[in-house]
Amino acid sequence: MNRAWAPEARDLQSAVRSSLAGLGGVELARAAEEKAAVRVEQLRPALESLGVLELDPLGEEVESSAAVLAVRACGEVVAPYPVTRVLSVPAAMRPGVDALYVVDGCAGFLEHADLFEQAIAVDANGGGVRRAANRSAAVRAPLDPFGAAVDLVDGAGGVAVTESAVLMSYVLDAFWIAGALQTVATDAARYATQRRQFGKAIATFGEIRWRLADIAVAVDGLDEMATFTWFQVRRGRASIADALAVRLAMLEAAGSVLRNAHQVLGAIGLCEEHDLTVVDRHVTPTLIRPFGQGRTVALLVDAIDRFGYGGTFDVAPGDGSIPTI
Amino acid sequence: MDLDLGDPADALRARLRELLTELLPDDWAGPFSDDPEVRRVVRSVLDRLADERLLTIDWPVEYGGAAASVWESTVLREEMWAHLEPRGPQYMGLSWVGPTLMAFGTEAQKRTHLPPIAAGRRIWCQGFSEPEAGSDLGSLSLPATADDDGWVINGQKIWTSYAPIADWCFLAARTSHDVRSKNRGVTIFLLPMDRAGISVRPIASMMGEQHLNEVFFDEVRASRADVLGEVDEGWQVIKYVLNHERVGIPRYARDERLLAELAETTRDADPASRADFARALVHARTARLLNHRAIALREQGGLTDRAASGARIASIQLDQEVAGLVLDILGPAGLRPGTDGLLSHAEDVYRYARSATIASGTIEIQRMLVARSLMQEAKQ
Ligand SMILES: Cc1cc2nc3c(=O)[nH]c(=O)nc-3n(C[C@H](O)[C@H](O)[C@H](O)COP(=O)(O)OP(=O)(O)OC[C@H]3O[C@@H](n4cnc5c(N)ncnc54)[C@H](O)[C@@H]3O)c2cc1C
Repeated sequence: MNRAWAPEARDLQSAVRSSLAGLGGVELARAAEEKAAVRVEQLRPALESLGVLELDPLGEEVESSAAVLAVRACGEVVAPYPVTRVLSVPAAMRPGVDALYVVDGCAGFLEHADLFEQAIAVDANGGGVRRAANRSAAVRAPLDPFGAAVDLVDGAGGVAVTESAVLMSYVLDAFWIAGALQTVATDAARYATQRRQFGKAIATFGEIRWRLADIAVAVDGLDEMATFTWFQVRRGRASIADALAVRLAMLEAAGSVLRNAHQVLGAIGLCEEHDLTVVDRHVTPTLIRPFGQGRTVALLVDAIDRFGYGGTFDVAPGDGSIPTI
Repeated sequence: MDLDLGDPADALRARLRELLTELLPDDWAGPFSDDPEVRRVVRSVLDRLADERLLTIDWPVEYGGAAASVWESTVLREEMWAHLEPRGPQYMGLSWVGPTLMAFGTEAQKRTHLPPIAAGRRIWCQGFSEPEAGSDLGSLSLPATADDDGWVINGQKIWTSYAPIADWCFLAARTSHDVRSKNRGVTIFLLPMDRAGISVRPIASMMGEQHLNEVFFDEVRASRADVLGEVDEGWQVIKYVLNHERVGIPRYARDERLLAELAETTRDADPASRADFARALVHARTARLLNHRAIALREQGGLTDRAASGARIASIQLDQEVAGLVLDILGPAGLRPGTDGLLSHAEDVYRYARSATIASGTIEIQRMLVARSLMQEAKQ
């Protein structure tokens, strides 16, 4: 086992971090909500100048590592640009296709879909690939700050998206959310040591410490699941069961971390001034599209039945054949 | 980045499964029983593993080990735990008593104790907890009073697993009171359980035989040769032991085996149970990965409380989740012990899982440690 990321990938992650920090960090997400053009005027050029938007997560190991770590860095400040959707496009399809969304039947709104002319939507249920034709600017809603109306139309030119690209798309979401949750964890822990009530820091109260502990375990668990699934996808050992597993881990971690962090911060955490509120609202589209927990679990049950599930002891697929994992 | 455990570890896993399939009877229900047949099985497993030098695979070569990698050692623990620990209580000697002796013991102590531990022929018990010293272990007070010939010990320990069958006790006693620090003044004694004045009383518990006992000390004599490490500095030894314990127990491996065996039954279960099953599989994988991370960090010398206790929290919660799920899915059929494979011991697994969040440091204490560690990181 070697758990170290390639140094070049770490370097890029640091560069993305400092570039985003230079643009204001979470402030950038606030600004983009006020003025949607911030996304293309400020953020996209910054990501382009670092080469982030050209990375192929299914490419060579170093490039792939750089892609997921850059995505994580973007997640840390909920950077308002759909880097996960751009990087999900298989290299062979670029530049003809500029974003890839996974959808569950119809779509309605998709985040940042107004930024693309050549987006495609892959149906999570094997319903094929369609064109995601944008038909409105981003229409701001509290829990969907950059959702833009789309029509899913046939005419994707018979393109086939490889299974590994779809699996990697789930992995990229997990890295993005892992970054966001890490920020929430750090904020909550720092706040707990600063805020005083009853004459002492609230961090001295057992209830607060337990919430912090649950936050840390959830964040770390998601990081491990994201990294492991990335590793398995790269080695061609993953099935959709693994992708749905990391999605479930992501949804559960987000639920736990956000709930606990809000509780630690009390009223101030609910204010728009506070990053927690912005992070909470801005991660929600990724937690709900293409589907939330209930449907993720239902699809996972089905996928385990079909493909099995690898572990210290493998769960065999329902028909008794050998797991593909 | 390479998250595989490596070929030697995979090969070891395959070999262990082969051996255990050969040696364990179909109705194997674990080693904690007075049944002579169970003892025979435990003996045969120990002898066979010792013959193949698998018992001490991760010990240094100079102590009869094979200096195996940390991942081989992890696989050994995973497979043993998954198969209901067929080494019986011997696992304690192999996992932490031996290594602690290597770190703190005198040459004479190593010569006396390490060979029989390595041969799987010596059962140890851990005499740490007391009626008034549970989570707050530092407040332990069993007095060892110094006199001209050494010490005389009077009082009791409690919750001491395997004490009725143990050959030796790894005992923490108070040899002095330091007003500045209660962690000073603790001394570790290695005492044979047949030393005059030691008696054991089993405590009936929902976990079944052997797990919980009281050990009484009535004018028990100890000499300088019985002391492990420095007099009054036993807390260093205890810390070493607790560190070994907290990343050493691969509960997730048994849980993953239970889930794999439960899969067939689950296919006919109601949708809600199937959903719970899928969730448990994800939690099991997460717990395993967190444990592997902790092991890797320890190996690099960078283990934090966040990583170590976080991994434990994930494991012990998983243990209770899976135990509850297995019983739930099996329904009334799972309530009574059977003789047909692992799932027929669902009720035993369930009873034992009740202790997961208590034994070796409660989940509350683990959470405290993780929170403190997270706050320290956030400050930086
Ligand atoms: C199956 C089993 C086997 C064991 N085997 C051994 C053995 O071989 N040798 C041995 O020495 N011991 C053994 N133990 C004892 C074990 O180490 C203790 O049970 C454990 O340390 C907790 O102590 P306690 O049970 O006295 O609970 P207590 O410490 O009394 O705790 C009671 C409750 O209070 C909580 N609590 C305590 N302090 C705090 C705090 N500061 N903040 C918040 N909550 C707190 C605890 O988390 C718990 O919920 C065993 C226990 C079990 C269950």
